[in-house]
Amino acid sequence: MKPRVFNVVLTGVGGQGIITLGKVLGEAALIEGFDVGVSEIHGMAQRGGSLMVHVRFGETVYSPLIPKFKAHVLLGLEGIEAVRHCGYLMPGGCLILNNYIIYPSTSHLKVDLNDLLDKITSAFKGNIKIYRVNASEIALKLGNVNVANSVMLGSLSALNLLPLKEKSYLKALEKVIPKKFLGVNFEAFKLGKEAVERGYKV
Amino acid sequence: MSLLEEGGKAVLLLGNEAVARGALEADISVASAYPGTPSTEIVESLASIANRIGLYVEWSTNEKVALEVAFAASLSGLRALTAMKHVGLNVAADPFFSIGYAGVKAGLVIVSADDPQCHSSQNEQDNRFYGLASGIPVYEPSTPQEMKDMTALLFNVSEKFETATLLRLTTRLCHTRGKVVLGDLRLERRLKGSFNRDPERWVLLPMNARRLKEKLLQKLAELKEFHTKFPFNRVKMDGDEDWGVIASGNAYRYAVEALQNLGIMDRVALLKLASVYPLPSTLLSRFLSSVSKVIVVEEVDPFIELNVKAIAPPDVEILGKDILPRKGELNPDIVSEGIAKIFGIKYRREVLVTIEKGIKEIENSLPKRPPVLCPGCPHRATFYEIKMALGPKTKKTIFCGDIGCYTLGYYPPYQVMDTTICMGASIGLACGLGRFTDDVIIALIGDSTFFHTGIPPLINIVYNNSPVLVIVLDNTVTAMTGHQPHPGTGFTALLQPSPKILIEKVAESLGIEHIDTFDPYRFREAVVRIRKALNYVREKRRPALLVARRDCTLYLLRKMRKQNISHEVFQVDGEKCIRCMLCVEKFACPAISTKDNNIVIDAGLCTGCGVCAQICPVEAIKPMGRGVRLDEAESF
Repeated sequence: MKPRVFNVVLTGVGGQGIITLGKVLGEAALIEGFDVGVSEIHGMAQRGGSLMVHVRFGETVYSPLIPKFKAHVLLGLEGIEAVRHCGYLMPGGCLILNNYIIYPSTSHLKVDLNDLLDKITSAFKGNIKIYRVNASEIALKLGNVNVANSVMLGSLSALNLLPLKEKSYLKALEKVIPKKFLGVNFEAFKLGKEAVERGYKV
Repeated sequence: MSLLEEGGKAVLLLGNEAVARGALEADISVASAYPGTPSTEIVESLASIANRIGLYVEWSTNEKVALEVAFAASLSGLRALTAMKHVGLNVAADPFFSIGYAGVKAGLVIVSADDPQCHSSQNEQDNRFYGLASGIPVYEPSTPQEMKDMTALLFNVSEKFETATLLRLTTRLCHTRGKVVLGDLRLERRLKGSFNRDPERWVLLPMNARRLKEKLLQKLAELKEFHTKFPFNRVKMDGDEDWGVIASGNAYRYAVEALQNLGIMDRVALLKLASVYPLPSTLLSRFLSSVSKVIVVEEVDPFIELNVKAIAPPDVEILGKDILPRKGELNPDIVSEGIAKIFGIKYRREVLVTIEKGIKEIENSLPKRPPVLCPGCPHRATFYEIKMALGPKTKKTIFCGDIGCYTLGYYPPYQVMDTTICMGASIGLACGLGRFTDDVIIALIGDSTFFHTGIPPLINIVYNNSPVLVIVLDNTVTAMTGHQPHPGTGFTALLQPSPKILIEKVAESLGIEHIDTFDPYRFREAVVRIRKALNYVREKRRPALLVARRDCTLYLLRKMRKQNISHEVFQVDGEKCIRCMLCVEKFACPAISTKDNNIVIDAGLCTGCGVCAQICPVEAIKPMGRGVRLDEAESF
């Protein structure tokens, strides 16, 4: 059965371009003629704070917030924040994760991402798909760490989890990203797509 | 630029932008505000297009002034909007109540952006009560589309009833993007009106006020009837439902989602209320007479609930805050669970409960990520310098803080915040504590907050002589809300140059004798100047004022990027470093961390402020030669 509303949670750390990514996804859904809700959930800090954006689209979107266990996709730009918010994923849902950790400066606690993902998988009794992308590494190679968000968008597009065409993602990028940075974002999108096509599934 | 796109198009707009567009479609001439989350983008987005269409927009010194400027526009026959965060209306409450009595001429919409959950506020007060208290009608939209359409309509309502209107939003509405179909727009504005003398109306002498109160009550009675036909109220009812649900604002959307998910939409009558004060009594009476039980779903306080209870027939059971929390923000889970319980439905399947337990455990093992000052933030340097200057006396010092990024000085390792209650209160509290205790008292206040409500208490400190050190953390811009200019910045919302009002000159004119400024990026000099000021206060028992002046780092870096100037990046010389941990544990810049027993600086995060290099006791932190050291540069 086709769901009435598609739910995507974006998480990461303030400054990683998550709000921009939310805008792009929202525009892409709008281009396809859906009703859209993009909700930004952030606190006081401009940089370095925990950040979550809820993107919903479908025929009619009511609540702008996604209920727990209702997200089809969780797009994590940072490891700790992705794990922190995976309670939004539905059983059978898909976590697309940037292999990248930003430690909070206030804590000396270190984490093991592999171990955490194993624990998540077993909490979901195996009923969860996880794709890992070296988005920040790819972005850095492109000379602009800020385009990790577009790498992730490319991966999301290639995985075909949502009823949005690649063309719409690209058109949305064009609408949201300033002209000066559009080229590198397109490049990032392409590399994100290829990363998934080569298979990064765990 | 979607704010000026032509009518008929469907665009994605932030809730706040939708309000701005609605005001433009209603042909406003004036918008004024003091920035405050979650309301800021309303007037900010208007400012960004103002010069193109000849709209007048200003950042006012505070919400009271912003409301007075907007009211003056209305008196001149020009439509005006003012927007503020919920606590801003406390500051503007004085003119607000008087405007309730006097009414308006041209349409006036006052936006109150409430913040359930205190996402970025000191409380989650429910400003619908301000409507009840002042006699100004209150409206709650539910979607970005409604935010636009209702804002536009409220200007007509305002003129029809000669009353200001209060548009109550919540954080979630303000910060949700949604599809909005645009209406038509004129691309020029009327900027000059005329003020017709009518002192019996605009001079609130007791005799005039008494007469105006009578008129106000009459207006409210008329509005009550008008609200029965208010187009954004909606009823879904077959007539055979036992249960009714009344919901407003964003809570309405949660209610619909809950009723759908629980599969009980057909079993309830649904009333969506948009005109929440005065409540449309005829409409409500009709609704209440056909159901026997009602659930009220609304965000924060039981405003609708209490008013509905007051008019409901005694045999109708009204539930609201007994099943839904009065505290915090609602969400679809909370609303679903509350309603599910009443209907004896299990909301969450057993398997999900087990998964949730497992996830909670993993979550608890994760490092927390509290909000932090940005890398290079001058406030961090100032906090560190104050503690260095105080030395062991830090423990016997009371720090009266204020509202801004610097409130994060509360957190370890800085811990230089003993009080923070509201805008400007740092100086007021310090004034009292300086009188009533023998401790060293330091007031910490930002530049924008100083102009907002810091000046009257500073006068009080001088007038009633309290031995207090006031340190103004001047980052030259209203930083926390996204770098809006203020009276000390040197330009206006419309990017017109304006005189830079210097905080030290204000202090000087008040007769404060010890006034000094320092650059927090220059560590040693800053410590010396803070010590000098502390000594002055201790010896003379008189107030002193310091200005710690340095551009907000993000603001400065943005200016540099525009000029293609790159900034320096620092690194740690592992040979020289003695691992004293001063930079990691006491200075605590997010760019500095430990890795395998070494101190490392993240090149992507370092802003090149150079302060860590100055505090390192063995000079182990060195520039990499990538650009300008911020501590060696003036502003750009």
